Amino acid sequence: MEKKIPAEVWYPLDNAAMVYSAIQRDDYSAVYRFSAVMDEQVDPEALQRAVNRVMPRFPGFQVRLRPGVFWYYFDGDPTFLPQVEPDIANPCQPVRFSAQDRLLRVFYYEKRISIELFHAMADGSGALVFLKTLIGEYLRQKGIEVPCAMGVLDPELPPEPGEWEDAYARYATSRVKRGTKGSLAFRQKGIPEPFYTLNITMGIMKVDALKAAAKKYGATITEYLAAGLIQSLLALQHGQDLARERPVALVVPIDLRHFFPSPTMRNFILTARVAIDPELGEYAFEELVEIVRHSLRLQMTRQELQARITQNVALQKSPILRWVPRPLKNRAIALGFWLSGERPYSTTFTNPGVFKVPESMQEHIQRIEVVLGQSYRGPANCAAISCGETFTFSFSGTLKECDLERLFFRWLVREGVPVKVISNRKE
Amino acid sequence: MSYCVNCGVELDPTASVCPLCNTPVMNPKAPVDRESPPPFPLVRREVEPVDRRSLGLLLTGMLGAVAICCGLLNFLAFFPQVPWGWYVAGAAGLIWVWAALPFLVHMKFRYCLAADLVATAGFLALVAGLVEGWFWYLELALPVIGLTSFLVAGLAYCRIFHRSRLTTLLVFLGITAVYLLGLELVLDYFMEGTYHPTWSLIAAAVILVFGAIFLTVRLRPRLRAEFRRRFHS
Repeated sequence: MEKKIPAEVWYPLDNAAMVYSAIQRDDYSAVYRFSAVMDEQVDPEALQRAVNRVMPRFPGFQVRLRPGVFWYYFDGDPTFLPQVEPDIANPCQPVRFSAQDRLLRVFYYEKRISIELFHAMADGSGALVFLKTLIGEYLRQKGIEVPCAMGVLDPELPPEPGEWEDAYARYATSRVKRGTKGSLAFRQKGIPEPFYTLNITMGIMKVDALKAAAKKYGATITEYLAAGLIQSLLALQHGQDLARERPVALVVPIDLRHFFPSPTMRNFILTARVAIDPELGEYAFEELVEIVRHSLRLQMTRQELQARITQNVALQKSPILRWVPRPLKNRAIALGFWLSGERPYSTTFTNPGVFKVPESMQEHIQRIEVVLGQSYRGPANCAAISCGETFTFSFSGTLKECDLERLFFRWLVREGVPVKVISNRKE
Repeated sequence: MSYCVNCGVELDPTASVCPLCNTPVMNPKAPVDRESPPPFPLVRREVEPVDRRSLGLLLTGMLGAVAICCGLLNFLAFFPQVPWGWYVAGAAGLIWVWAALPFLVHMKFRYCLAADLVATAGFLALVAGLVEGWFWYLELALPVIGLTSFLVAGLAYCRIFHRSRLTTLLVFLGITAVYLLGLELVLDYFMEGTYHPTWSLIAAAVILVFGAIFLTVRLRPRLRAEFRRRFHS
């Protein structure tokens, strides 16, 4: 079967990719990492073989980001096979869009296999399909039978066109356009680490313990942890004895595939803003959970989301914006992102959900980890994922202080959830 | 397995301190495992530096082409008796030092600033030489450049050393007062040959009053908190 992709293939960037490519700087890394911790030491040669077999199934990841006159674009490179390399202490390094620097990296360390992706290529959902397929193929290389099911793609089959569609454009059909608004939020401040250091603090928990704790408040795990995070941020701000406290707001990515069916592995997300204004008074934890739940559900309606997609795509297709040269447009997009995508938020909290794989794979995976790259001024970003019985929650940032991490994990322990903490911070 | 006595979290067997509160692990039953690999790698990788040289070279080429083309046009075709090509070449040189040099040579900010001021002085010297205006160059242009460098250096000091907003404001007010006094001195000597301070003294007095208020606030934390409370926006 013909699998080879013509060399002249290129992809225009989708709506989210345009933003991520415009805002990529030394102090903002739109790179994220998924890791699988296996049950035994990783064999780099088997991993390289698995990468080589899997990559042609993902032509959207065999690309380079090239500068056009008006927009960046993805230039297809079917020869690109990422070289598996030993892992590093400072992950999620910013990409340079140079010929040498690729948008997909594969690392290994002891039992851990990690992939790093530039967010312009795919969102967490697409990256997880790649990780599942890669781990499945790696296990096959090690002689373990793994069926192609539950998101594990068959590397023998050719890529399907729908997998690389721009789903934003497909669903930008709402009659009404709607943007997002938000006032300046509290941002964690501290002493920055030397360039480029990314401090990771990761909590490992049992899913059952977390579920039981969340159930006490009638919440899902995401709502419960988001409320806990807000509570920790409120306590952090309160401890700074500020004359006027700013709202604490989380940005929570929403996977749009749940609302608008699409097989795409490219970006197809929007974000919800969950905010608490401490100037209004003290909040009990139960109240925080209620606000988080209602706030998320109000924003996660098909109609609301479609109006926002239409607004974003309309901006991208605006006749004025389209004909502005890329360097100028990048600065305008970066400024717009800073004003509406960075200042109104205290931190990011993403939970891609459950990493479900076939049983024969599951027994060889101890846990899955997710780490987000650095954001402007380096306050910690948060990400969580579960696999089997293990749930991991990571903080990643470039500040020396770990006050938020301490407040959050201590709160979880007080809630009766046993937490094991690991970190890459220097002791 | 060990737990942090402060945080209550379980720690990795290889951890000698709690990553959350830095409390040392002292567990006689489970001493720190110094043989096993830590949970994350220790080898750092430096981020590839941004390639700014190509932009610097592009600017150099563009400015050089403009200077050479204008020079040739001047001396071969348009008004050869008026050396306007030199002005263009001088301006191109000035822009090159300001805009292209930082991309080509990695310099500390103070050296960049010095190079910018030298280039400005050089360009003005070129103009002075072409119009035979050395008197205004020496009596007006050079002192104003010197004063401006003083102003910029003061502001850069605050930025480099991450001073507080109030300290930055105090330094700014101080150097602005000195700048205005110096500017009037230079202008008076250039135009009248004597020094009669008027407007700069008024400005400096106003600055002095505000500076004294801000200095008092800066030195007294309780007063600072009171001001913050009353003037919060």
